[in-house]
Formats: sequence, structure tokens, C-alpha cells
Amino acid sequence: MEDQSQFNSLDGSYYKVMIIKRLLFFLILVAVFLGLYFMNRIEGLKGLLFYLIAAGLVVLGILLFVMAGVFFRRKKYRLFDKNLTYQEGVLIHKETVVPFSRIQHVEIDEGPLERFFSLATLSVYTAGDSGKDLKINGLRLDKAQEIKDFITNYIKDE
Amino acid sequence: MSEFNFDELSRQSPKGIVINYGVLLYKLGKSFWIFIPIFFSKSIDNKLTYFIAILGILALVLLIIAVVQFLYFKFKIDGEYFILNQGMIFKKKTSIPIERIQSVNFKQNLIHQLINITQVEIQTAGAKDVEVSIKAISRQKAEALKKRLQSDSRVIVSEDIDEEVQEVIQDELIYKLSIIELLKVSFSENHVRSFFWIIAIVFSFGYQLEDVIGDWNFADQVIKFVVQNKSAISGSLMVLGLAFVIGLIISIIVSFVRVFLRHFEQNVIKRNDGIQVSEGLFTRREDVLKIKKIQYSVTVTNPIKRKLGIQTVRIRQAGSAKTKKKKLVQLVGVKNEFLAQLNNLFFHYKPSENSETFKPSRYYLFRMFVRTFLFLLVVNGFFFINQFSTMNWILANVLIIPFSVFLVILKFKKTYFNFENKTLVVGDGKIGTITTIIEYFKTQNITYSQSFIQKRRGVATLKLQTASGVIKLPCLHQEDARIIQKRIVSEVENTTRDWI
Repeated sequence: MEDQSQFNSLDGSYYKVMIIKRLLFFLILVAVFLGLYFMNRIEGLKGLLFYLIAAGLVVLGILLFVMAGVFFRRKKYRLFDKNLTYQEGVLIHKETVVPFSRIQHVEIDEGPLERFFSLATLSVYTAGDSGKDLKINGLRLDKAQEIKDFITNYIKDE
Repeated sequence: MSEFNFDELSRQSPKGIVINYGVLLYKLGKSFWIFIPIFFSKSIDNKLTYFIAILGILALVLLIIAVVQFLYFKFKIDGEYFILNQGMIFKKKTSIPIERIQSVNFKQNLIHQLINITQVEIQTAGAKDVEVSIKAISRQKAEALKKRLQSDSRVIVSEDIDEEVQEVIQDELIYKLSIIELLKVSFSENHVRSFFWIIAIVFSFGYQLEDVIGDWNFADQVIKFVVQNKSAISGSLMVLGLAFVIGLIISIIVSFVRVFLRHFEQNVIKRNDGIQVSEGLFTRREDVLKIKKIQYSVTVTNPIKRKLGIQTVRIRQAGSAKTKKKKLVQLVGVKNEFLAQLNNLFFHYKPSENSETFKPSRYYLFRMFVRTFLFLLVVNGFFFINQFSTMNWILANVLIIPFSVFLVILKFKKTYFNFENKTLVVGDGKIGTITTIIEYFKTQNITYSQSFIQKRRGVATLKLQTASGVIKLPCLHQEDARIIQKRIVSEVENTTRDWI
């Protein structure tokens, strides 16, 4: 499992999706901040404090976009003969192994943004606590379908 | 085979109307009890007449609802499915594949016992939990239904023979909790927890009263009292000590009542491929656990319990992470021999010489110290805001700091991960001791996680997701973590046994 060469990266266009999502998030943050400033809703949001927060936002923005690449590169998956493994995370690195024999069902979702880049999200469910199973964003739709079929066949054959 | 026909739609026992009615009245009372004082406080003319009239109408309406509920509540078994239809206006049809049914449990509260009927609860496992309860049928019918629902239609012939062999050793009483044992259990409960329980109840009750009595602010009163008597409260150790003793006594009483209500006459019967646990003083509960559906068990004990030679065993079934805590099956007052018997029965677990034990890295100790330090900073910040006198401040810290350090060291000492054949035993606890036993092929998925600090120290945490919650192995040496991860993954991939 330590052998990184067996792991596949996500599709390159998912990097664009990440950037767009972060951009949207950042724009909303800036809009809220400016909105609060112009409507004078918060006492004392002027002078030094205003510049401090603005500077903070700029730093956050730079971090968001600079770090996007690292976050993207850390997301990797591996389809083995009997399990699916997914890695992600920069500050906290996580690797989840889901043996096929424990998979209840597999799902493919396409959000509007992802569909534009013909990407899909593959979700794998086990009987463990829901929401803590495996979810792989940014696979090419055909690749996701291929993995899904592979797993579904494995489960059927059992 | 039985006198009951489940292939046709059938209703509950007509006595079910009583139960429906009781439940409705209870719900009404629960949501409207705060209005009751109105009838006594305000001087409305003829208030008694109004009161009785409203009550009469409500009672009549509820009676009609109870009857309708009864008439439209029908169930049957249709091939591989258990079918339940209910509701007149809002019709609801539930169908449950019989093979997905996890357990069929009986429950009898006081009313059930008086009119001699049983409530049947059907639990299913799976991604989307369905739970069905039939509130009132006769005991014989309940037994027959249970037999139908739990006979696995997919059994192969060879297994049938097996089962016949097992029939001979059917229904063996393997455990019975005596009154004296029950007293021991109550006495050794965690009274500190009961104490917080009481505080929570007092506060929620206070807030409810606040709704009734308009200009009475419960929280304000409490705060005012504390502020006014601040010097007395914080100054005098006598008052504190007295409050503590009174709190402890009340807590012990509450613990006794709680344990008696829940676990009275607890007994365990071994039958075929499972155990049946029945317990309760007014409300008798009967839970059936199939052994292969047990995911893991957690044994809890504390110094007092250990002196008395007893421990509590919590049995975790599939899906019980989602179901409410009160549905967890807990065996109390378990002695060492019986514990060994249970472990052998559930997991074929017997401790031996050639087991392999892992300990967390020393980094775990370090991390707990850092977290405790941060916690103590917050506590001291609180002292500062409340302007503690230097004397009190020193006194508090002299008490808290060594105690916290003591707890951290205890926890580090009690944490271990032991591999014995195909079972994993996880030790944990501070003052109490918590031991988790799992046959690790029942793991659903496994996560290896490492923060950047952990990476520098060569440490990683493993999380085993099971169908009944997470088991965490914190701060292992990363080489150990990889060994354990590989071992568990390969066991899960290669086992021929079913996790449920």
C-alpha cells in the first residue's frame, strides 16, 4: 500500500473544477464582507480593522489557489483485484480501503459543473456509518462507469 | 405447522385498541400538560364544566382514532416479504424482505402485562433502516410470527440436519441476575454520570415550568442565586462538600431506580444460533440476538465493579449505531467465568500465550498531554474571568493538574491492541477499563490517517468502520499501522464467512 506508483491520479480537468469551486467560494466571501462594509452593519468595521480583514482575505485567497494544486495531487485512487483504495488530504493524509466484499452499492453522480467537464463522482457504500464511506470526485464518466461495473460484477459473482 | 395463518392479512388483537388509546392519551398528556395549571389558576366561570366538556370530546375523538388505527392496521407474510398496511387517510404500506430482518423482539409494559398481550418489534439492517412495531398481539401469535420471520428460507438441506442436532441443546438458561447482584450493579454504577443526568433533568424541567408561569425566569433565578451567594458558595468548602454529598446521595438513588427498572431479573437463554436476553421490572423486554449478527462487544468495568468481581457487557449488533442507545443490549453484573463463556460463544475467543500485542507510540502520551494542557488553559481562563482569589486559584490547580496528569497516564497505560487468532482486542479507559472485542473480518472499511505532525513522528491512526460504529486505534507506529491494515484488509477480502 505504500507503493505510490500503483495509485492513479484524478482526471486533469477536475483541477479546473476545484479552481472554479474555490473561486465561487472566495467571491461569496468577498461579497459578504463588502456587503457588510457598505451597509455599515457592523460597528467599527472601518479603518484599521477593515484593512486587516481585507488583508486576511487576500492571504486566504492566495492560499486557496496556491494550495489547490497540492490538494489535487494528493487525491489518488487505486482499483485492486479485491479492494478500492482512495487517498486524500494535505494537513491530514487519509487512506481508506474498501474491500469489494463489503460494498452494499455503488452510485455515480454528476453535478452540473462536473457534467460540463464530463466528470462524475463515484460513491461506494458499505454497512458502516453512512457518509463515512468512499467518495471519489473527478473521475471521467466512462472511467467511473467502468469501476462501477467492475465492482458490481465482483459483488454478483460472490 | 401453527394455528395462525399469516398468509392472509390479519389485524392485531382487539385489545390493541386499549394500547392505541393509551399511547394517544399519553401523547396528548405529554404535549399539553403545561396547560393543565391554567384550569386551576385562572378563575373562569364554570371552568369545571368547560374542562370536563373539552376533556370528554378529546377522549372520544382519541377513542375513535384508536379504533380506526386498529381497523386499518393489517399485516401478513407474502412469500419472501413481510407486509404491513396502516392508516385510513394516509395509507402507508411497508414491505420488508424477510431475509433482511435482523431481529424480532418482544416488549411488554405494565398495560401489556395486565391485559396479557405482547408488543413485537421488527428490526432490519441495511443502509436505510426500517423499523416496524406491532403493538398488541397474543403471546402465542407473537411466537408463531417470530418463528416464521426468523426461519431462513434459504437454508440448504445439509444445514437443516445441523439444526436438528442443535435442537437437542436448545433453550439453555446460561445466566440469571439475582437481586443481590442487581444491588451490586446499582451501587457500582457511574454516579457522576447520574449526577449530570439529574442536573440536565432539573434544568429542562425548570424551563418547562418557565413556559407555564409567565413572569418566572428559571435561568435568571439560578444565576441570581449563584451570584448572590457567590461568596458563600466559593468561599466555604463546607457548602461545597455538603452539596457534593447531597448530589451523590441523590445520584445513587437515581442509579438504583434506573438499574432496577431496566435490568430487573435479567436472564440469558441460549437457543440454537443465538441468545435471548429478557429483563425489566414494569416493562419486560425480550431481545433476541443471533450470534453471527453480533459485530463486536464492549466490556466496561470500574474499580468498584472490579472489587465486586462484575462487569458490564454491551453487545453491538449491526445497525445499532443508528438505533437509539436504549435499544442496546447490555448485560450487567457479568462475572469473569460468564464473560469468558460469552467471548467464546460470540467470537470463539480464548486468550492465549501466542497473541500479539501492539501499544500506541509515546507520541500518543505527548498528544494527550498537549490537549490536557490546552484544556487547563481554558479552565484557568475561566477562573481568571471569575476573579478567583489567588488562594482558591492555587488550590484549584493543585487539585486539577495532578489529577489530569494521572488520568492521561492511566489512559496511556490502558490502551493496547491485541491480536489473538482472528480476533482483535482493544483496551482503553481511564479510571474505568473498556475492552472491545471484534472478529476483525467484520470490518466494513478501514482508514489510515496521518496528520502532518504525526507524519514527522512516524505515527498513524487506524479507524475500523463496522456496521455498528467505529473502532479507533490511535497513534500507532506507522509500520505497525501498515501491518495491522494489511492483516485486516486481507482477512476481510479472503474470509468465506458472512459479516451478518
